[in-house]
Amino acid sequence: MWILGLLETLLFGPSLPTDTTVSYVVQAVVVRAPAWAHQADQLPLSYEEVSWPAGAEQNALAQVPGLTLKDYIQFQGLSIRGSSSEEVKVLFEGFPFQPQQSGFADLQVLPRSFVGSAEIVRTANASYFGAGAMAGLVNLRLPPPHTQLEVSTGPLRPWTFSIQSPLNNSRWSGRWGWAWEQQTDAFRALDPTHRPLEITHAGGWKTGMWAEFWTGSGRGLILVGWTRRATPWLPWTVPHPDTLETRYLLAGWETPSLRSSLTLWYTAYHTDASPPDRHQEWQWQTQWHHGPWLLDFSWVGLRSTIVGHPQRVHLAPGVRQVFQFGSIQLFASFRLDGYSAPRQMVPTGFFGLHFPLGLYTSISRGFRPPTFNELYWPEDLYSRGNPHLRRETSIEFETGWKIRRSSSHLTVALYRRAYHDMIRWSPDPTGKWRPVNLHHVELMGFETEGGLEIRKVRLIPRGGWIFWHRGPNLIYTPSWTGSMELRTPLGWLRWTWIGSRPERFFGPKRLPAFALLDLGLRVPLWDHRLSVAVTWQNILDQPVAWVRGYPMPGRTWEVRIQWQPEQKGGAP
Amino acid sequence: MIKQRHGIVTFLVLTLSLGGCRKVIDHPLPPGQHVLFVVNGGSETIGLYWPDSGRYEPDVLTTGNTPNFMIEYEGRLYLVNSGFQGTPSIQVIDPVQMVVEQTWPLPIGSNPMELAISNISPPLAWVTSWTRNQVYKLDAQTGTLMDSVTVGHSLDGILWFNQKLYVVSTNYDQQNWQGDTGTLYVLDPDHLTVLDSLTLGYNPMHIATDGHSLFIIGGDAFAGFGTVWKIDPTTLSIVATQDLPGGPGDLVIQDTVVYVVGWSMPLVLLRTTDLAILREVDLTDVLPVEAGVMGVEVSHDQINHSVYLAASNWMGPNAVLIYDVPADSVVQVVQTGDGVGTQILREVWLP
Repeated sequence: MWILGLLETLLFGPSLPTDTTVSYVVQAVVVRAPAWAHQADQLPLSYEEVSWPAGAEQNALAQVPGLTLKDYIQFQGLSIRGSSSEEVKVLFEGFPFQPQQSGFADLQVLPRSFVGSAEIVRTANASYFGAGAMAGLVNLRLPPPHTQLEVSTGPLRPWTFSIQSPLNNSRWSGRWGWAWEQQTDAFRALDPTHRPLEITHAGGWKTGMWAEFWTGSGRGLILVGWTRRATPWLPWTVPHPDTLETRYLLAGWETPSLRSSLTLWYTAYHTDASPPDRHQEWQWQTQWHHGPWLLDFSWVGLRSTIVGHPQRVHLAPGVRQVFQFGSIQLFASFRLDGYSAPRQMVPTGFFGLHFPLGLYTSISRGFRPPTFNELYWPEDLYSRGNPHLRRETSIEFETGWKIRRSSSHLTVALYRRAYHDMIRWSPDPTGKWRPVNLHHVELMGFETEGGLEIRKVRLIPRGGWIFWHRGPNLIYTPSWTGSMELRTPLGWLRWTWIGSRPERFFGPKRLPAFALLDLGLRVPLWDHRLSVAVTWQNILDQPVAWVRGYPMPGRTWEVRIQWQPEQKGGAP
Repeated sequence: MIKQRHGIVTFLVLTLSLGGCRKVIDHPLPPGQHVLFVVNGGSETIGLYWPDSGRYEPDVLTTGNTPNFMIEYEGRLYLVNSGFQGTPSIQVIDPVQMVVEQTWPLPIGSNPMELAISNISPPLAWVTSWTRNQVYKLDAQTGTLMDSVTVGHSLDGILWFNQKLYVVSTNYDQQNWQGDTGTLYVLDPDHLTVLDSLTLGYNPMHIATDGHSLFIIGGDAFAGFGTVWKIDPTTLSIVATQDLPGGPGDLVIQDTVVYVVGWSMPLVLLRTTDLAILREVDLTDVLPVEAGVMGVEVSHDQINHSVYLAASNWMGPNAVLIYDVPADSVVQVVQTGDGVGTQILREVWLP
């Protein structure tokens, strides 16, 4: 134990008296959520904050009703209420975290220790959440501010290492974290079809660092990451390895009236056959709030060996107001988005009512401008971009019920969503694939989520049902989902059921339904400063494929050792 | 009592409504009819069209991933699924019972393109692999992979003719998406050795025979040019060549006419003797919006001499166009559904 004590001293400084440590942690706990997050919780729409115990990160978001994982083994996107991944806006701690070249926010670029919870808005609402929130919004959040060191191992990730710690001086306080993750090609060995996949090396690694700090005037965030992984989509066509390298830097600053961020993306496809395709993207965004008024400005510039050097300037004034009529609240907002490349203007609005007893109803509009790939992909033998592409939009009507008590809560939502001018790829008259504004899709669904806590034991049931839809199939979107999660101080048990899903835009072919059963146990040691956690994923060894042709691993396990020096006397 | 009545009514309503969901197709298909099997690559399904009644039944069978080619042999249909995002396979379909009798898996990543069956005993199936540059030899009764041979580059068409295998090597550069001059290889089926080869032109793809000569189409659908080669199998030499007004996608031969179609080219009728163009049929006015022609089949009905054309669209409307040869016009457009990607047509006469 003296070795651990020495390590603790070296890494985190001399031990502090218990009282000092507790007060210090409390100071760090005051994480300022982005301004919109507080509003989202109170808005008359579907909002949920999802957190998960250590070891339960895998597929945690799949439990959320209406939210579907699009997992391509080395890439992972999200879909909300039948959308594509590009139609979901993704933020990291309230700042944009989504390249505009592809529009695909890949969650796999983040080490898993960087995300401790997620805020999810399932309602389409661009007037509150801005361009891109056509199908909803996911805001990834940092983990709770424990001082912590963690090492884990398992068949899929032989080594992961992460650390997070406070960072203080006389003028500001903060915290930082660093992580390293290695992923093996064990996906091949664990392929549930037991057939030899031609994934030559599905493995890779990722590393990154973040820092969050507060001063008297605001909050800052810096996020840096670097990942390199194989891209196993080629086996069905050309059997040679391809590697994708992604680097990113996010620097953000926010005060009560201003939020500004700079994001840099660098991606490179390394192949055996040719020099890599490189893409560099800069994003600058500034949002200014004053009373009910809002002004949103952003600039995106791209330097790509394929798409060229397009730029986009985006300006959006807006106004938001809440009116009180007795016990009824009326939320109203309006926003006008104007952007270049291609030059278009899109008005969006939101009207919602909060009634007594937690009942609400709302109508809102979302939209997404075309990505640079969709606009400017150069003409090659099989495909081309479409510079005349229009934005795609959505309109959503929702009514629901939210009730929250000290030890329980329940939300129920009934919605009808219509997508217009959906951007999808289709062959042109010469046979080349290019994106076009094609379809109108409508769907109606029901979602519910609850929670009950009795003596530190929490039970969380969730469910979703799309009971009607018109237009092309909602690809990979299950009609039915359900989950049940049990959390105790010593472990957790989670059952997730995903119904069958269309695998083609047209026709009856469907991917089969599956159920996941995951279990995690945690053994605290040394006055809870040290803990050993064991996780079993997919205990029933079900064949799982979120996306056609990408079979997920079967039954697997992981052991992780956590060291939290300031913990004392109980599980977090 | 009231509850009981409600229960009975609910049961009846559910039973009737579920019964209504059943496919209306009869099993097995009535004999003495000719039926057009319509393979839809977008939805990965097979629909049926009865020329006599004009009825089309969608989604009768489900195919494997990426159906690409289908032939009929000895009363069975053999469908090649190239297997994008999954396992490539050959499906053996009984067209009378309308069931998939067997599914033969092929190596993942092999991207099989076409299939030929040798009329010897026991019958053997031969499949070309686009990505592995291999020809697979399978037991045509069980689908067991018996042997393979590596030959050429980016293989496509294959034909069993006069106890030999004819394999079309496109020589397509898959890394850089560039076509090149292709080759026709003649294989000895017993020893899997190359007996002879013939250099063709740019990107040859599909091969067919009229019983005497070999006919190969090639070209570039996107660039809009194509060629038909007529080959004497005895001397393995090109005896005639004809340029096409676009990139071809499929061909079929009946009697003395070669019918060639392509995504953005007219239907072209050529004379088998010298490849002279007999007719070019502009389909622009009858094609569904943004659709292109991907497949062709000729009716074996000697009274109604029709040509079926697969008009394909992966997002919009699809159709089978019925072209009446004597009348020189498209006489019927059979809608096959939105986004289904109609691409392969095979007519089967039921015994």
